[in-house]
Amino acid sequence: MNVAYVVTQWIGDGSYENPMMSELLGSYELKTEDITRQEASQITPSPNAFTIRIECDQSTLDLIAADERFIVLDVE
Amino acid sequence: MPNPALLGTSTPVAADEPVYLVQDTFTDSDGVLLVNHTPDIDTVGGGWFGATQVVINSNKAKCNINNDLYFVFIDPNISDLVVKANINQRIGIVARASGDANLWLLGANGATLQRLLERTSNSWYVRSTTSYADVVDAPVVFTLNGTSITSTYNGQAGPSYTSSQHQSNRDTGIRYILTTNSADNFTIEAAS
Repeated sequence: MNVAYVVTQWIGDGSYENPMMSELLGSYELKTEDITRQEASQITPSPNAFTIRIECDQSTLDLIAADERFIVLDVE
Repeated sequence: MPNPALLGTSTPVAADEPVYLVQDTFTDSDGVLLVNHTPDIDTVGGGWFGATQVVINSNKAKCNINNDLYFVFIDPNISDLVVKANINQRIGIVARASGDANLWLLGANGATLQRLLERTSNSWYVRSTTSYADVVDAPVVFTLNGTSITSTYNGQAGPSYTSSQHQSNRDTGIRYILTTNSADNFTIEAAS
């Protein structure tokens, strides 16, 4: 299992059906945690970017790294 | 400060036994509104409050209307706490709530993700997720202690986060969205 740090953006409208969440979660369902910890009052930031910690297998990490919407900062 | 659960009793409690501030096995007649039901232990004594769509059914707490959000709360008089329950499907455990506009929610999105959501001023923010598989009557543990927020689902680590948001709010409870949702063996104890 890989641990990686990924820059993504907030998506959603804040409703329960469409909550504010990482764009990455819209494409991949995996273990994530928002490590930027921006206060709700500061969401959505400008520019719209924040960092999440993810845990995933190598094939999923390869897909995320190749996805132009995301920037993989580091892999443990 | 003495534990409020021990006030008024001289019965010693073994060090390794949990001291429940709230305990509810939802043992009551079918159809009784949860807000009219008396928990097994309720140290504050305020009982359940919130949605009147939640009723006792087969000694579990269930919602009788589909496809909307319903919250029921109870006040344990503390905000650093451990909430435990056995849950079905997309039920959510709510903690550090002040009304239903500001709270933390541990709950599944459907079939694949367990999510930790912050609700602030009525807006929802997904702060942490884990993949999961639904298990009938799975035990869930939701622990909020200081700024640490952790969880387990069926014994496996669930979403976790660090935040001081809503840290002093005390209301704790259950979020319903479907009539198939049910909760049982709901307890609250102080975090250690």
